[in-house]
Amino acid sequence: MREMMILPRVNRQVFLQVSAVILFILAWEFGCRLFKVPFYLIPVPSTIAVRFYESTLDLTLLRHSWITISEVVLGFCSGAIVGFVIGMIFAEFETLRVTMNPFIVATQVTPKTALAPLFIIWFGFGIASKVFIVALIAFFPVLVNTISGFHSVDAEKVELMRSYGANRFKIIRFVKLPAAFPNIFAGLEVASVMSVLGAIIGEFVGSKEGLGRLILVGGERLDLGLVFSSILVLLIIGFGLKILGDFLQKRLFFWVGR
Amino acid sequence: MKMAVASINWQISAKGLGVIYDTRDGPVEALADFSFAAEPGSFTTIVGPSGCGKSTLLRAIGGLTKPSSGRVQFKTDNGSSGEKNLYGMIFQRPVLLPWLTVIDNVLLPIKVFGYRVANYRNQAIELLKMVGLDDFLKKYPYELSGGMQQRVAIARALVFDPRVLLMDEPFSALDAITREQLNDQLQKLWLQTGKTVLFVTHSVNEAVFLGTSCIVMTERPGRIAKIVNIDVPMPRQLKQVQGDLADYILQVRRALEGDAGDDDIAKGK
Repeated sequence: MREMMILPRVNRQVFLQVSAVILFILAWEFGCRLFKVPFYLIPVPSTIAVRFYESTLDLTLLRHSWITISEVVLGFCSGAIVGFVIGMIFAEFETLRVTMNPFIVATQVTPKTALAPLFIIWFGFGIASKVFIVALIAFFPVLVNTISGFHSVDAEKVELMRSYGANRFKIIRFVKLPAAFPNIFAGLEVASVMSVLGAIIGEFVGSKEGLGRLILVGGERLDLGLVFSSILVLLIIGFGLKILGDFLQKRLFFWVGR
Repeated sequence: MKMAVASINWQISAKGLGVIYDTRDGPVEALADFSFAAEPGSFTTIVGPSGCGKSTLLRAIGGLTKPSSGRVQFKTDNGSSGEKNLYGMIFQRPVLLPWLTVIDNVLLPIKVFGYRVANYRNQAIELLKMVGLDDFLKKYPYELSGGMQQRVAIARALVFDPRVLLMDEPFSALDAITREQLNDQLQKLWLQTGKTVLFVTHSVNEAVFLGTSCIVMTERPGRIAKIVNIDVPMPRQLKQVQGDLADYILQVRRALEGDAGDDDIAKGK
């Protein structure tokens, strides 16, 4: 106890968090064994670990992860770029934004996943259909946050630029973009998480490969070890995105809120 | 500190300047028939009741607000000229860009103009030295106090060597002690650089302490009530506010009150 008090706060937090995770896994393992839960309902962590190891070794996980990650990356990047560019145009041209508002709201309120079957029909079972779904999902948060980011720029800063005789492009480049960047980044973070979701749902609806497909196949065969292994990969991807996001946030936006 | 101190004669003047704003309740006349001229190297302060259009006046001169009537003119011996970057503006708040260091903030106008930053770096450092911030080049705005931030803003306004500084109540957001220090520093800076300054304030003491002349404005729409020339040599000491500046302070106050009196009569009180 005394030693714990001396530890710096961050180390103490890490210690507590790691302990909680280990406790959870142990409780899962021994709880399932104790109550004799059938392995085809809830596999124990050790089974999952073995299955994870096997399917990594025969490259199954890797191959399917690669497909899903490609869909996420391609879809996210194209959706984010289009969302950012259109958001910037809408933020700069208020009349255009107001005119197009019904479409913005429509893309906002329609559950994008409901469109997944259409994309499968249009673009087939390959990765193209999933890339489109992910792009559509990633598009919206980036669009909205780009607009709100541009609108949140201090009028004073724009005035300052105008006092230098700066034109629209210079105002965007020197003031609006950097000032809006934290907002845009928040949109990117949301979009990245939702992109993974979009890819999996797209794969559920119709696909030949990918982690979503692997989960479906595993479920049909009652190979829950494989299902959980796939989920574990998704968990790792999710954590990776979060850690990357937090890291960039600290580095890039040290000035926010000061 | 080498700066383009007025070598040739020039003059900045406003003739019949008027500004009308469109508001929801109809047009509002913020400034009416305002004429004046500032000679090179002069320090003109502008005082008036709140909402009298002092800021509007500076904005109209600096080109941020389009005058509804009249015009602002910059004339040299060679006639009228459309010289660029005549004005360095300083606002009520520092308006620094929080993602840039102090030195990069000072160099911002240079980048916006598309000039070579390398040519101005020494100038920027020199200016930061003059405002006492040369130890803070690599700091970020959030690491500075309000007074220090406003000094960065002053250095930024001077970095491209404008002929005229337009200062819109630059110290009104600061505490009284910092404000007095900055008044003192500003006077020294002005004496060193020989800039022409237009300085809007609602502090009579500040206006008289800093100004070579003080324009007193009426209530809205702002017109000139009186121009008081302050014939006290520079540099001045803050304590002179109780000494030979006191008489001028009284004159300015009377001019301000006279306006209030007229207004009451006009309203039929």
